[in-house]
Amino acid sequence: MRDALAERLLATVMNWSAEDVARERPQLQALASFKYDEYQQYTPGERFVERLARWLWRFSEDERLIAYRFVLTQLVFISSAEIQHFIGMAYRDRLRPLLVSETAASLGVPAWRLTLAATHPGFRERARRCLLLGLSDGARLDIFRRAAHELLTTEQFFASYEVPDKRCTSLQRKLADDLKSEPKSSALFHTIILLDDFAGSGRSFVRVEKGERDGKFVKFLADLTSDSSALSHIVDRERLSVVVLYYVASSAAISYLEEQFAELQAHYGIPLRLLAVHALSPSIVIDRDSTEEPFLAILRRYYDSTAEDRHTRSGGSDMLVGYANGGLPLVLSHNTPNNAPSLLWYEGDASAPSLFPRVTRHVDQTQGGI
Amino acid sequence: MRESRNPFRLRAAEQIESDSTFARLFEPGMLDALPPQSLSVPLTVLQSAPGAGKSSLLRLFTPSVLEHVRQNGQREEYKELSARLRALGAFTPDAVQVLGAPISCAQTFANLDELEGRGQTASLRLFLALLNARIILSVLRSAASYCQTPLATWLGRARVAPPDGVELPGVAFPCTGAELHGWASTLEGRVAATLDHFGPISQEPDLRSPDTLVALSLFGDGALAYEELALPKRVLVLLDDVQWLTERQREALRTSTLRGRSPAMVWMAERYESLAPDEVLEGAREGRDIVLVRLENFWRQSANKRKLEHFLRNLGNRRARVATDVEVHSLDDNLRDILEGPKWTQLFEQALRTVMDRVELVGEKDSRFRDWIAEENANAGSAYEKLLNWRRLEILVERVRGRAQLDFGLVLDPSQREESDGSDIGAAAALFVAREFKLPYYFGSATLTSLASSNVEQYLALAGDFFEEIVSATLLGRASHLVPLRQDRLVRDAASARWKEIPSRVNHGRAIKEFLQNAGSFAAGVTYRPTAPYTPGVTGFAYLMRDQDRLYKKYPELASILASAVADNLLEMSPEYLCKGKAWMLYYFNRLLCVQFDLPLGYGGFREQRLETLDGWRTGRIHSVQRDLMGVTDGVS
Repeated sequence: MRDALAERLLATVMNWSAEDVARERPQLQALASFKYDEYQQYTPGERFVERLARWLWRFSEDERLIAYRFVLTQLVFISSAEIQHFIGMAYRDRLRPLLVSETAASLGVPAWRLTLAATHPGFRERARRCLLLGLSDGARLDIFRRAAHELLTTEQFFASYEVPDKRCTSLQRKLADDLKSEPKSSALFHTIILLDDFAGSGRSFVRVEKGERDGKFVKFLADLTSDSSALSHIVDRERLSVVVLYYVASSAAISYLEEQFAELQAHYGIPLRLLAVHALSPSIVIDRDSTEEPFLAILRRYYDSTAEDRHTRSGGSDMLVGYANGGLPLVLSHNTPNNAPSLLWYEGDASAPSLFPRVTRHVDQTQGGI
Repeated sequence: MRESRNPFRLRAAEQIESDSTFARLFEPGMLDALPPQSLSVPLTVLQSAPGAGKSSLLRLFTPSVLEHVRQNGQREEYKELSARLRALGAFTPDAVQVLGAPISCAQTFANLDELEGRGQTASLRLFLALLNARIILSVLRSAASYCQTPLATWLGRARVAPPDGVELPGVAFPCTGAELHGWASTLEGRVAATLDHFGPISQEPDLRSPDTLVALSLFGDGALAYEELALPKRVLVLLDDVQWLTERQREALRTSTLRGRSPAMVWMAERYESLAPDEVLEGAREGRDIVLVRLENFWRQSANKRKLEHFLRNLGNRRARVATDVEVHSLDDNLRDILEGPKWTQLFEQALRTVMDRVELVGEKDSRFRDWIAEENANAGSAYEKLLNWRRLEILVERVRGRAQLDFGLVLDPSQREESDGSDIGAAAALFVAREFKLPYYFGSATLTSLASSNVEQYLALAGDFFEEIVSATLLGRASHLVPLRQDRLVRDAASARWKEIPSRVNHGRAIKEFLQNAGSFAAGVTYRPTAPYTPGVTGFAYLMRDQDRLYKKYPELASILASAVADNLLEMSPEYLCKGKAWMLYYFNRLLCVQFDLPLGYGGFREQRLETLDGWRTGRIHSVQRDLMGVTDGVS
């Protein structure tokens, strides 16, 4: 839809005067052109302002202003440029300093002896003995690899945390070549770095169900420490440590995972470390029990329980403020996480358009389909 | 990012990426400020407050923009600009005649002066070395741009042959462009290495560069050659943001530029804020080889005021025409400048009743005005005309009542009223009724240009607000014209925003605000006296020119804040203003500040003040005393 038409639609929905339009339009234009129009789940030709108008149309006149103000003042949208920036920071400001610091420690010198540590041959070796695995597509290992090209080689990256046996062999062989190790089987990785773009609750990563731990990371650790796994044969169990690095993480996810990591570390005997490039402030979270958040009333009134399924129920709550009561008013440029209130992303039917429609990872195959 | 649909928001020359957009938006009238000899004297200095258009003027003379205008000179939107540039000598129909080489002084140069342990000589050597390098690199880039060739390709094939006697250590002339470029890049690198060096610095850095601005001597007519293409004969070095240089560096630059007879010309653009108070308040001395252009002063000369209005209106309409997605092609045509309609008529009639009752009440007690009142009662006219006339009458009545002379209570003849009445009283009446009855006052195209205070950026900011609402109305399918009430509201909001940002925007901002608060309150207090003694109103102040030295010696803080206020265009300065047989240093408030105090926008009304009074305004001491003595009210809206 053309910009002017979309703005006129929005002005009609909001019952704006020319004065209101003059005040709001520059801001909306800026938001749309700078970030929101790039949302990847919009259909071709669809733009933010048009979507906003259609979303607001669902509400009563009084509610529209509250919802509009919420979008303008509380919504957090992380653009693809910002994610790329975080990825660059992930190497420069998180991983590299960690390797420098560990090298300094191994040399017995103070941590501030940065040049000494970074120019020591041990630093490069330590870096080469890192194995970087993606936890999902969002890890964008291609971008990370380019950001880290001065230190890390392609041969230490793999797109998935489930590394096939043949690939394990190949990774070790290339490590041995680079370290000039003989025999080749003596070349072992010391650090595994798991990368992902976003952690909203942390519960898909580590989950406790009926007293048992489960989740992606638990499975990974089990595999890593199992003698039958090829991965366990290419790492040095004596020196092994695992780093989980998120580009964006909520404060709730960080707290939860740190707690879980402490217990997992004790159980598996592997040092575990959690790093996040950007931690979302707890102040942005919508608390479902708050009495001061005007948008909550709208969330309640228009809540559609069909947003729930067995996957979402594993979070222990409905989807009023998002999975596991996430309450994150957050949109990522490629998709909206389900930790955000469902009113922002769920479309139960065509008469209830969302603002930033979400593509879900989990499809319930028991439901009728095409 | 999409281009803004409000082209008034594209304000700085730096924001407009496309040369064609820049050229289309450039209003040719701006060139009136450039003296005809600007492209023949060695040094032209452009000074102004921020936003007057210096950077735009410099950008206009870069090769790609000049060539674009020259090639498109027959098209309607470029005709006038092309004609004016030809008249200045920037190009002929066949070729561009000047090779503009832009350099920003915002980066790095000032840091050179801070290098510890260096003598003055050493840091100035570094400065001249860096400037030499950057001038050479910029000229070579501009030449490649003019030839529309990638730089690397151009450098390999270009030949440099400076005039006889010009030497560069380590370079044998004639040389290729690549060799000269390499020399300059290496020099720049050496200076950068000196800046980055942590350890002690040598007093004699190994720069291998002359201690003069030799770069200006390199590029005479024919010095640059590229295959068979004829390059512009004269190089014009365009130094922007010169205010970022230190005082020593600026002096060294001027001296070096004027020393010898360099074939290259230099334009320097700087803000007033970098000048010392006496330089701001008195101005630099022009010389034979220097042209000094103070942009605001140019527009404020009485001969140029109509030109300024014309220039700004054209600028506004030009911007409106390039707006995308909206059918609004003229700003002027969409600004209503009359209060009309039943709602206003009713309001005027109510106001008229109020004023008439006041005057007639006076008349009942004072028979002198009987015939004046009777005459006014008999006059016809619209409700607004009658309102103004009655208010004029009220002012005249107050004046008579305030006179000490005895008139024996005789009834005053209508002819006596005519003698005292004048258009200035009419203007005062309009101001008074607007204030009393909360009528819109600041509206209309002419008002908008007045509110610019001779500053392009200020005009575009206000016009941008107007345009945004016009476009919004169009978007809603409503009539696009902007009514006076909204124009007035937008102006007042802009004035208030400008007022609030003074402390954060200007050097000595808090002190300036205190001073202006007191000065503005005084002006409003005098303006709104019932007798309107200084019609149409007081919008400035002045002190004797002979007090200038005393200002610097005895009131240095006052001098500083006056200079800062002038540098940021909060005060408009007119030195050597002749009045009552004396020369005055006159300051008018920025017209937007006049709005803050409900003052009119015309020039001509000012009050002479002693320096002691002005300093009292600065400290706040005089304000309270004046209020007590004069019984005037603050003019703050």
